[in-house]
Amino acid sequence: MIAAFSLIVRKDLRVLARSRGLLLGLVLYPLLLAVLIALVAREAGGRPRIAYVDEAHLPAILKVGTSTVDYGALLRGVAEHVEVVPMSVRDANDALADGSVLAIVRVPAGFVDDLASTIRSPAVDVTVRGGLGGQRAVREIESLAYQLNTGVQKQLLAQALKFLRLVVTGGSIHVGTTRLDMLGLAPAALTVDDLARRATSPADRAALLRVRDFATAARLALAFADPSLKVVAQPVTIAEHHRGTDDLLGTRGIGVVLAVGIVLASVLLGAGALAAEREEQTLTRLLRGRVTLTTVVAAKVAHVAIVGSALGLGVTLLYQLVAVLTGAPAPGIGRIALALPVFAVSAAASGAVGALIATLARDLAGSALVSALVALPFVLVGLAPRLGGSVAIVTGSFPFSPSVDGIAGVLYDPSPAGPLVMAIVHLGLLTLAGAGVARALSRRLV
Amino acid sequence: MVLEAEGVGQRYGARWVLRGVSFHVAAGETVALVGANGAGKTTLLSILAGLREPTEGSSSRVAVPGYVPQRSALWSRLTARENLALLARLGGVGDAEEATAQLLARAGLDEVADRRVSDLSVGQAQRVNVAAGLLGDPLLVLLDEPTSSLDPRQRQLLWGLLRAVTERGGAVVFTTQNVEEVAAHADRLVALDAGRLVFAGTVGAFRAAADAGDADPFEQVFLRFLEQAPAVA
Repeated sequence: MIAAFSLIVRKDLRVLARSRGLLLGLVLYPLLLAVLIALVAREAGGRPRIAYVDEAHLPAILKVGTSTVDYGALLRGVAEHVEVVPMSVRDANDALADGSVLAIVRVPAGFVDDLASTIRSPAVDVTVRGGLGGQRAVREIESLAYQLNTGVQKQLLAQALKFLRLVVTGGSIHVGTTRLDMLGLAPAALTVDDLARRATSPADRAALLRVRDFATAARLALAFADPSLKVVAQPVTIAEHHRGTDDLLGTRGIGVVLAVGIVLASVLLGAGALAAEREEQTLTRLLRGRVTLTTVVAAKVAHVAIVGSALGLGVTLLYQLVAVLTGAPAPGIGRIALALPVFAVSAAASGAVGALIATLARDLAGSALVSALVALPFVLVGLAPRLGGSVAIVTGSFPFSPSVDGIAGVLYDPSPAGPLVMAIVHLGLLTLAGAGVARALSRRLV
Repeated sequence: MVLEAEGVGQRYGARWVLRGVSFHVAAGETVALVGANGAGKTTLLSILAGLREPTEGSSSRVAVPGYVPQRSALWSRLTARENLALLARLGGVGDAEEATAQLLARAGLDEVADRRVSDLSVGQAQRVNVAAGLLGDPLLVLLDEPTSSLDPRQRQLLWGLLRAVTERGGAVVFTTQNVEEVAAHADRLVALDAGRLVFAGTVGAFRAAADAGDADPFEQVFLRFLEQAPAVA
């Protein structure tokens, strides 16, 4: 049985090697998918377009009280995350309606006056489209408002602190066109102390010393207010740290690319390999000798596992090369070697599904069609973020989702042993189940 | 007996395509299975080859027979030599390479041995197909319309190969629509009509049953027999 198994596997590999069109498709398909997914990922991570209606004619430098805010710089900073497109109200409304922008930010006339008054809070009018894009635009606009608020807040705080310091130390300040001269608590305490020393009446002296003590205590209290105000202005700060560069596809992205390539190719290959034996009438001939249907089904699954492993290995090595050349994080040869059993068991499980489909559809064209029809919905559902309940059971019964988790986990998880064992057990059970049912139904092919 | 069928019947759903077919084949015999299209010849042949279990009755044979299906049952992307060598190994033939080389030579396929089957002519592919059924020198060879795509020269070569089987004590059973071949090559014939056996005997007995003389063309004899078949059966 082992000899027959080995002979059929070698024969299938030889037949595949001579099917240049199919072989080329098997190699190019996952590569094409990788490029498409990378493009989609880039687009999804790209800057949303936001219409910007400036009815206030905001200057690059905003004056707030006696201070200034570099609004132009803030806007340039935001433009790193969103594409800000200046528009008229009408154009902005049209653009929002046809979906060419995700949101309209309208800065109403009077915004500058409200901001400069430091009494009224100026409002920015935001209209967004529904859906994820609109939500993302809102986040970016909130970020802009936060940065603007923080900038204004800093300037107002600096102004308040300047006043406080003036009250403590004395000096002069301009409020509009008016110059104010203030003695200050510290100089006042010195002056009162000097007067107290020179006072002849004990009652006058005691009164002056109380005034001096008040001035000293007030100065100390205001000195504490300085840092407290800063903390109140920004109770929690975020310390940002950036390390390394972004992945080419993201860890799940490479898992998806490999799993889609391996699973779809393997389902089609498994179905095609078994259906072709019936189509060419060679299955009958195989069974004339010492070959059993169990051997034939097992050989098809093994054949697909070998091809799927080679496919996964080739694509991953190519990804590694591109990642190294572009400076993106690469999984490393060790992790790629560790992923090889996952590729094999993923392909085997998918090949078993393909063999099962061949026993039901029987002819080659029907098997290919049914394979695509069966695999695509599972792949599409599996592309969604992890879902629980009955959906998880459905996606877990097809090799795609466990393959994505296994491949991404083994290539990038800090502890790859867990995902490796999980993938082998899960996909191994799917292989046994799929091949078992395919064997039970394979008599239909004879 | 090399082959024996006893009350063989086959039903697909509610429809019987074979019913109560009994006959035997002795060593050294060449037996033709004849009948109109849909008479049940291919179904009977697949039961005799052990590929299908009959719904009723039984068939027995001395050993695993060589089987040649009507359509070429070969891997089209493998060469003629690779096809035969693989089948020889899977069939447990001792020296697979040597057996393959000998068979290719006997079937006159040396020149095309290393061409892919997909690149062979229909006749060449059919000869490889027949050669595959002769691997391991089986004692019984069953062929489903083996000459339908062969030219006269290739047919002559084929009958030479099959004669060698009977000369070494084996037996050959074949189906055909070319009734002249029956007269020329079969020792006995088994005629089916609508799934029922209507005649089993020698070619001479068949002529007699159809009230035909030795000089009458066999095709005419056959047609006359079929017209009288229910009465004969």
